[in-house]
Amino acid sequence: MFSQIFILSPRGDTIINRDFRSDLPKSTPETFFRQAKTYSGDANPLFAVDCIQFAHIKRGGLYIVGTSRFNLQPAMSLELLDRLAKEIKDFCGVINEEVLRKNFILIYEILDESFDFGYPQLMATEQIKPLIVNDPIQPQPDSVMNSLRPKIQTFNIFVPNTIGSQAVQRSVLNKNQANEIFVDIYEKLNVLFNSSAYVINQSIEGCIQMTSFLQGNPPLKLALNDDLQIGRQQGQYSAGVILDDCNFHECVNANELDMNKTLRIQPPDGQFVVMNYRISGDYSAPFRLFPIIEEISSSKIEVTIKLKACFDAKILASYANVRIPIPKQTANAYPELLKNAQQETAEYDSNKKIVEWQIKKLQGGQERSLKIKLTLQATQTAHTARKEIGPIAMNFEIPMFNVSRLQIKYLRIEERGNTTNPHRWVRYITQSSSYVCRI
Amino acid sequence: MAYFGNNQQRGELQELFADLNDLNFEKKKEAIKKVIAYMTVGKDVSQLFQSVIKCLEFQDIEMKKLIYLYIVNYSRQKPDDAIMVIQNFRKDVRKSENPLVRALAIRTFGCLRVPKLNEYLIEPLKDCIQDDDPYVRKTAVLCVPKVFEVSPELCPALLELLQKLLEKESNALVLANLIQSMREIEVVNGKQLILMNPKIIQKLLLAIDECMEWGQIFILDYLATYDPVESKQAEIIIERTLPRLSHINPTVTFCAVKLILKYLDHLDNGDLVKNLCKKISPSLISLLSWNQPEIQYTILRNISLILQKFPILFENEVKVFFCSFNEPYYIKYEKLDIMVRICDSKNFNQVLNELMIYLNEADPHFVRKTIKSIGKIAIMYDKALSEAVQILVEFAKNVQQANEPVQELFIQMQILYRKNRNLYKTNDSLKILFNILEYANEPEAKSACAWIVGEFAEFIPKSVDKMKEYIDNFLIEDRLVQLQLLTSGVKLYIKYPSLCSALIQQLINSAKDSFNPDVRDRTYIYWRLLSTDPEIVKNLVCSVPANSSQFQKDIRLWETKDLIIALENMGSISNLFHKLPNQLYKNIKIRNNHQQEAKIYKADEKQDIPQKEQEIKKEDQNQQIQQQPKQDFDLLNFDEPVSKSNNNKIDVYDLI
Repeated sequence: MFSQIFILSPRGDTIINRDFRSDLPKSTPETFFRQAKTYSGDANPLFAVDCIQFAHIKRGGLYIVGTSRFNLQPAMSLELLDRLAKEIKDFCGVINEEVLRKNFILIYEILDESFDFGYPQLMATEQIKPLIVNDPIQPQPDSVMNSLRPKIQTFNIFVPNTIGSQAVQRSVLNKNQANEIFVDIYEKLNVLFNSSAYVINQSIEGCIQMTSFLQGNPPLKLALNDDLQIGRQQGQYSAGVILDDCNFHECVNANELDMNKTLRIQPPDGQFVVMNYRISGDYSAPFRLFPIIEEISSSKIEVTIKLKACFDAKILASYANVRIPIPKQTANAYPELLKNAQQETAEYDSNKKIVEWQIKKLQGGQERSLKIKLTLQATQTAHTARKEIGPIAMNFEIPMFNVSRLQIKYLRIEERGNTTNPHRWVRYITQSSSYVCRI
Repeated sequence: MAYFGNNQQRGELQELFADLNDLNFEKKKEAIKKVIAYMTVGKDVSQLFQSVIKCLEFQDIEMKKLIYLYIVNYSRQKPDDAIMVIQNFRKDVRKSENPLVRALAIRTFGCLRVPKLNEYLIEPLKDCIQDDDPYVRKTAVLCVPKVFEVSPELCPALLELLQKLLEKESNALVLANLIQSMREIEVVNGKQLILMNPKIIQKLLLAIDECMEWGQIFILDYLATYDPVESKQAEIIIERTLPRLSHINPTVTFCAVKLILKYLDHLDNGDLVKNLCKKISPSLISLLSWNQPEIQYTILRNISLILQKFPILFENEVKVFFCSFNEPYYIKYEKLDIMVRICDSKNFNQVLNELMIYLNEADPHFVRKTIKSIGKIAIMYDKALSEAVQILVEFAKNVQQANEPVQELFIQMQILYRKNRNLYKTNDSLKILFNILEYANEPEAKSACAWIVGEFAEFIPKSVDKMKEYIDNFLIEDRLVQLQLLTSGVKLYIKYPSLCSALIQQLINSAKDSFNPDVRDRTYIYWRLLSTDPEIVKNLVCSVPANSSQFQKDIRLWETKDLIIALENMGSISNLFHKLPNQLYKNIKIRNNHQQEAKIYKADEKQDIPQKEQEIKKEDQNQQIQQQPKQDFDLLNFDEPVSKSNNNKIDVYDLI
């Protein structure tokens, strides 16, 4: 397990240095920093120098580093450092050099509760809160609201680009807050089309995420679709929602999921992922791309791309971007939009040899199209160059829409006699993860 | 050290010294904070030791924490002064009402690591192990390995206490720490400390449900080293572990997978094994889809090991490993590798079609690897051969410059031609390759070209001119190319004796001046053979090998007994490098394993007994292959002296 944990400033000064096992030389921070500087970009998250393993993550410009001389589990060590960073963030609000220097005693306390002899102990903010005696010192005493209480800010794997959620920026420790809970259902789509718009491979990575501001953290009951089924049998076709696999946060009791499709949840403060799920089966892809390539002459190619939004007309995609790589030998490219195009742009980046087509707001059922006229350099013929076009990749986000049809039927507070009725907000967001059309 | 310090520094220390001895409590506290700050940045404040520990008399817990932090850091430099602290520690441990203080004291105590202090520690530690508060117990339990490391001779009584605690402890967190610290002592001690019995196993299984994720990892990891006594027990443990497969923490899931895979060997119910495999594969696939690329990478590296023992897990899942365009290349490389591994007689078409797409990728190194993979698949499955050649020829048509992928193209085409000589007819492959011959610039690719020119001279127009071109530059070529040019030149001479007589003269003349003894030796052999009986040379050089079974079919990486060790260390750094722990860490002990044979889990095997035989056969094959893979390819590139076994046969090929 970890022998030492230290936190270094961007210049390599030691801010925190805790030695758990005293089995490594004291110079490891310098060794680390010297090695980390040899990488041209960011250093590898894990590397070894003289049989000493260094695992590190970078947060707020600072290096949070764990060292070990054991055969440790890389996934676990990085996860541990990430958790540690999250704890520090929960207590101090932000992670940066100034805050850490001011709060170094608090951080030693957190470290001591989180690790003993290098083994992880208590690593949840709720659990160590009662054991910590120091209060965080905020760097800006003038903003009273900030200094009163630290903020919980959590790491989020989904970054919605357009829809900001007020839930994320609020403190969970504020006593006067509204009694409410936010539930987000995110889905990320992986789709691979071949040139005739036939789906080669598709899958959904989804998660249900909650941000809880419920007073007293009462147990919750979350009900999903009645036709939900977990685990796919081969050759089986069902009208219901079939999840290939799913996993749950520690606070979730999924024993009743098979029986009556409900989850029992003991929500912690703030944001957490209730469950992740994965679907590999067929679903109707929300966008279809139809590329047509024509060789006009031996040095001219015309690419026409039709984009169709195949979802309900009531739903509005907040953006859709299409990237079309074009041959390296292109002399020039002219993207042309339709005459009646609105809120659309198409640009050619001559350095990257990519045409970017950006559409703001696309209503379900609508069709758009783009024509690109390519002129090639003399060294290449259209016949060989057309092979270099593509694959076309798409990025989009569709709010209030999910492909899997996984629904939240209800969300109840389980306590009997609880008369307060907290606000419950449910959002659905669908994003592209890898949405690619080959040519 | 103050001697070397400048005046200003000494001044600071004096100021701190004054503050520490001040009567004002707040002032003392501030001073101690400053001391810790100095300590953190590496300034030496050990001279203040006595003044600092005097402050211990205050019962303020924040102050205590700070002072303990200081003591831990400097106790080894000032062991004599540290003895003075002992009384305070003992008082805290024994008298304090607050479990936090008790735990804090015992935790700090353990970190002192001064042998002569440890004897004072044993009694309070014993008390703490038997404390009523689980928080104190969990801290005390972890304190034992700390003491054991410094003074093992003091510990027998403590170890007994731990064993007793294991019997009766019910708190999951304490149990997890207990298991972890006993394991650590076991490693140092070499003696078995945890005596498993059904009751303890039952308890651990219960604890898994109750503890937090890290505790779950400790316990699952430990259980994975245990050998269940009978099938029923294995079944029970597996059943209790199954829910962990759907834990959100990837390490928990992975530990559960490791445990189940290990216990499968102990199950005697074949259907159950199959069912379990069906449950594991979705979890492993999920690990690949939710996590950040770094974690995906560790999982992929392990999957390629798991696949060697459990091909069954992914038999219908090859699509999972298709690369998506926005993944980092290190993930793509691993996926490519795994795709080749799970490619079988049913899905090779699907895989080849996918690989064909990758040939358009931008990264030349990735394209090169793709070409190599296509070659590998074609070698493994005869049916895939013609399709693979088609794909490669299609690629060759578009080659316009000498880059990495082209080099690999020549190498792979050469191997495929060697496997089936008739392939040169497919899609004009020979003609297309001949047109781009000039793009070969790596030695290996060049020698492949030289081989192609010699072997198919009669089908290539101007083959003699091409050879002449090569021979003109003979002496500046790499040894590898020189050797191949020799053989190819002789082939050409045999095929067109009159046309090439000048050529062969020139070749032999330059070859005998080569700096490389191998090249010179071979030149003389050919020379003499040609001058005595060209017919023998013809038989030797132009014969077509009867079968192509010499090609490496099995692409398993590891020997069985290493594989077992690797699987036991699943998820660890050593596996990330695909190395054994003892190769990576010199002083690591590997658990002795009596199991010598890995049971391979395949989907299509129906009967048990033939399966066993097959395995043994595979073993043998595998062992041969362990020595062979290098040889096989050496045989193609003449890189190193051929190994001792079946020497004669190889010599003949060597000359071809």
